[in-house]
Amino acid sequence: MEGRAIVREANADEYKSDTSFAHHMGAESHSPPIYGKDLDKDLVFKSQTTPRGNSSYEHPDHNYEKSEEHGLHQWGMSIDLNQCTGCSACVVACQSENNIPVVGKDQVLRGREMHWIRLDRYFSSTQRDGAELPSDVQVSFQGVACMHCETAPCETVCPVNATVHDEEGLNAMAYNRCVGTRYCANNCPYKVRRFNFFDWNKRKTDEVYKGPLGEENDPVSAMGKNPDVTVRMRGVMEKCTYCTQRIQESKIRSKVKAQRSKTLDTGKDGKDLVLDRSELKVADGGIQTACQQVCPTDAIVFGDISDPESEVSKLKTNPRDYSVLGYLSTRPRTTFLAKVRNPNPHMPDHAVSPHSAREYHDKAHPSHHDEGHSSQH
Amino acid sequence: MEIKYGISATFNSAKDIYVAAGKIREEGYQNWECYTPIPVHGLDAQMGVGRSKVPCFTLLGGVTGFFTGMLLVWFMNAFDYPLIVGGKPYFSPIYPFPVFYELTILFAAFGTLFGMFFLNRLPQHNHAVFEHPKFGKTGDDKFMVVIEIEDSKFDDQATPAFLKDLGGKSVTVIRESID
Amino acid sequence: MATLSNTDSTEDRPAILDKVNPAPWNEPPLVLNNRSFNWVTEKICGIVEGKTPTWWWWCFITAMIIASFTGMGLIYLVSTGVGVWGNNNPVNWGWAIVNFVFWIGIGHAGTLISAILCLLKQKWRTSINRGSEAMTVFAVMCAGIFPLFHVGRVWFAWWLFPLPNANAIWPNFRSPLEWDVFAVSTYFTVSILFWYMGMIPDLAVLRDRAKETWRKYFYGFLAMGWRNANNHWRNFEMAYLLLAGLSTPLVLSVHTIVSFDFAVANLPGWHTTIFPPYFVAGAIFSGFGMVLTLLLPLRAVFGLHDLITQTHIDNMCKITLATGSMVGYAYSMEFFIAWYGANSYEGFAFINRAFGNYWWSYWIMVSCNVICPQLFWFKKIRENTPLVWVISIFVNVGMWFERFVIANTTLSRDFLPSSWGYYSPTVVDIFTFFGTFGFFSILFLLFLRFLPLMPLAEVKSVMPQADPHGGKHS
Repeated sequence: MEGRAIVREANADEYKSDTSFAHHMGAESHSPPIYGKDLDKDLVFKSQTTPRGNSSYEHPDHNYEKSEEHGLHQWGMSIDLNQCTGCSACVVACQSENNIPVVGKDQVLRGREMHWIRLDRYFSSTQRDGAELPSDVQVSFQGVACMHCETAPCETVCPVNATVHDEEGLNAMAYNRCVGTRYCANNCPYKVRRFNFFDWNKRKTDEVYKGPLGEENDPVSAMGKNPDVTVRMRGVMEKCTYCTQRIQESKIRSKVKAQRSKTLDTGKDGKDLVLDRSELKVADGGIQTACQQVCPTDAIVFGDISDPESEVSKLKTNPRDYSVLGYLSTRPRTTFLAKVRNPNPHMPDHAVSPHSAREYHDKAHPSHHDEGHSSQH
Repeated sequence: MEIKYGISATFNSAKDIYVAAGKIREEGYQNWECYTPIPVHGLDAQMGVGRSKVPCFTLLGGVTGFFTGMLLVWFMNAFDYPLIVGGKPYFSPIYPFPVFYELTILFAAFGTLFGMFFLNRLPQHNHAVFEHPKFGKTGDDKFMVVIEIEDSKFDDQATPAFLKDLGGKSVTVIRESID
Repeated sequence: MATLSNTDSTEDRPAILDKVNPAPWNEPPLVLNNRSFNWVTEKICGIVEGKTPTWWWWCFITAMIIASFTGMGLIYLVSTGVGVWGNNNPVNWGWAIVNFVFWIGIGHAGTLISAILCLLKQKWRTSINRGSEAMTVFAVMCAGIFPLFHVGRVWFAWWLFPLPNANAIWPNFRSPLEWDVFAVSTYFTVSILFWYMGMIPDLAVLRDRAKETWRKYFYGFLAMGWRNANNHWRNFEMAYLLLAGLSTPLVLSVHTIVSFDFAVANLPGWHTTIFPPYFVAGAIFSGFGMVLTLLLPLRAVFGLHDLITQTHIDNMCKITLATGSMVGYAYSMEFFIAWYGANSYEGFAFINRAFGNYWWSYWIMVSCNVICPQLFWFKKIRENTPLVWVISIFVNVGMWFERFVIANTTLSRDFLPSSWGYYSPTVVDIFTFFGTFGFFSILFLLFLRFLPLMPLAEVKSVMPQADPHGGKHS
């Protein structure tokens, strides 16, 4: 991890003495607070208004004039690194749910894999310099998908407004508007955006370099695609959408159900039927993203963070909760719960802190190194 | 059919035409022109003409460009289809800076060039002075003065003599055809 | 009075000169060997009017062949997809944006020579400004190829312009790429206008000298009926000065906006306020390198030693040295701030540039940009024309590598190490880029053949015969 606080870990003893150890790591732990004067506001307020803190300009409100049920929910996600076993089921589920193309070995070697969620895997050890494989390796997993940042850096730089923010907090990607400048992918600090370098959906995998002369894909394989999700052509950027098709489906079903029951209750119909905002809200747990649905340990939780009773809101108030690269003030809606290891103190490779935490502290506080501090400072 | 347009006299150096121009103006001629291969410094004052009016067009163009830029950005990003982009304000005077700055310069440049054409009455591919057999030398190394027939002080004998006195060589009558 | 005529006159002699006797300063003549106006006209027009030299045909054919590489590369690119280049995650912009900034930067020297040196009353600019303005126009055309074609869906690239479209979405004016659209279009248009306007009197000269009918019509049409009248010159001089005054902030802003492509992003190594002045200085540096590369062989081939004198070459070398030193200073400042700012990502980015996966490109850049131009301190080197030409080529190589280092090393290793990756250009990348040199050469050769290489009126204006007060130059 190059000494960066990307996956934040501590051992059980350290966690006992300081439950919010995750907040003491990373550049934002020693920089001015991102939220400034709005630091102590609650999550509901923060999600609905995106306060600027000490910045000199205000976030435009989430209510687009022409949208009626604006900002009904504010979607967010929490991924618990403690639960994550690195099984990659989320990767496979996302691929089949969202029609992510298979690019083939050659393209993967060139770095063009298309997966919207990926499992980052970092190795750390104390024996860094030798040519041999170290014997005390620790692995840290992290599932990274689009963070749906409230102040997304990708949106600002798209020249054609192909990626904008919707009123429920999703970073929306309009495939038909995307021209393919790829500036958004450059500006995304998490590098979750994937570009269709070739017509992977249209051409056979090993024929992509032949362009229009290449053989097209067997039409039978098209039947395996999810009809609820667009298939993207080449030259278009794509990324995790918080399974927006599932969100929309649930919202529509909730609305239809609410309309039907209200009609039955009041006898009104059509234009006379007025629904309350609370009646339109989707119940917590009603929407599961594909990755959440398939995760065997329920590490991924998705829901409405403007509802303080939802499971995801409660997880976000956990002291282990942190944002990756939070100091950039991207305000990601997907936050992580830091990992707590509990190694057996009698094992020969026991260390006082996880290797990645020690690496981070060595790099961030080099002067503290000789004082015998382990992870706290 | 050909009619007389004017009398021309050629000078060999910038200094000669500079001196001559002053004398021609003092003599009271109004409709005359100097044709030179280079812009001669000070000749404007000797001919009694003031500053060029091109800057007016430049200013007009620049102001148009500025307001066009601001209006374009405000209309498109704040009024017609406002979109939340990275949490940035819909409109602020800061981020359109490159747009309005470049449009200011672009429209000012158009104003300058087309103002220059307008004030010079260009394009004008035909003019009497092109009938002078050695007109091409004014682009090379000769400086020419032409006094038009229409000038009130023009006299068929006195004017050519006057030009010869000033040092003008090859005093010629320029004729233009008006068919 | 606008630009170039000698302004001193013996009448307004300051009184101090009666008391003091300053040492005579012999300003070097800008046209050697006491040439006449006629000689200048014959020399420059002769190039256009004479028979096409054989070497021109050989160069033209070679340039066509090389330019065809770009054509083929672009056809393959648009029909098959951006994947034929080496781009990947995370290096989504590979050579394409490097080439774009490279060519735009080269163009800036032409505008500097035309506009900024004009405002600074540097008379020596007159024999080189037409050629460098032409270089600017052609360089911007080469540059424009890349942002247009590097997009994934080139047929929709027109959406970057604020035109009504079926999506009913307008462009995002907060994006630096959108600013680029305005900046580069404006720069191209204003450069062409300035170049063309300056050429009108010379086109009139060619029109008047023309023997063949096609020349009479061609130059006649372009010359707009220019008559060399004093009234014409009056407005022309004012317009020239105004366009110079407009082009100066334009050239500074255009490369600033191009630098915003990087500076507005949040990546370590890109997100820094030094970029605008650093890029502008670098652009002028690379542009002067290209001006030297083009004009020194032309001077030899066409025998222009009396018009492009050692003074001119000296001055161009000195400007190259000055801007190269600014670029070197900027490099050291970036390092200093990366260390001083204590942002660990920024610090890493700079260590990585020098010692990481692209270390070789960094050291090529430093040796070509910082070390090579320092040779211009020495007069012996400035007077050795072939050596100056070789150094100018190194300057351009170094500046290309600078943009490569900035763009690709930062993209290759940014925030999350899991996303780090290496970028290698493919054959298509390489051929497309080198083909643009062929395209540039085609345009420049056509310029040499059909348009006047130097502004006749401006060159004549800096000769002693142009002074209406008799002049005190020897």
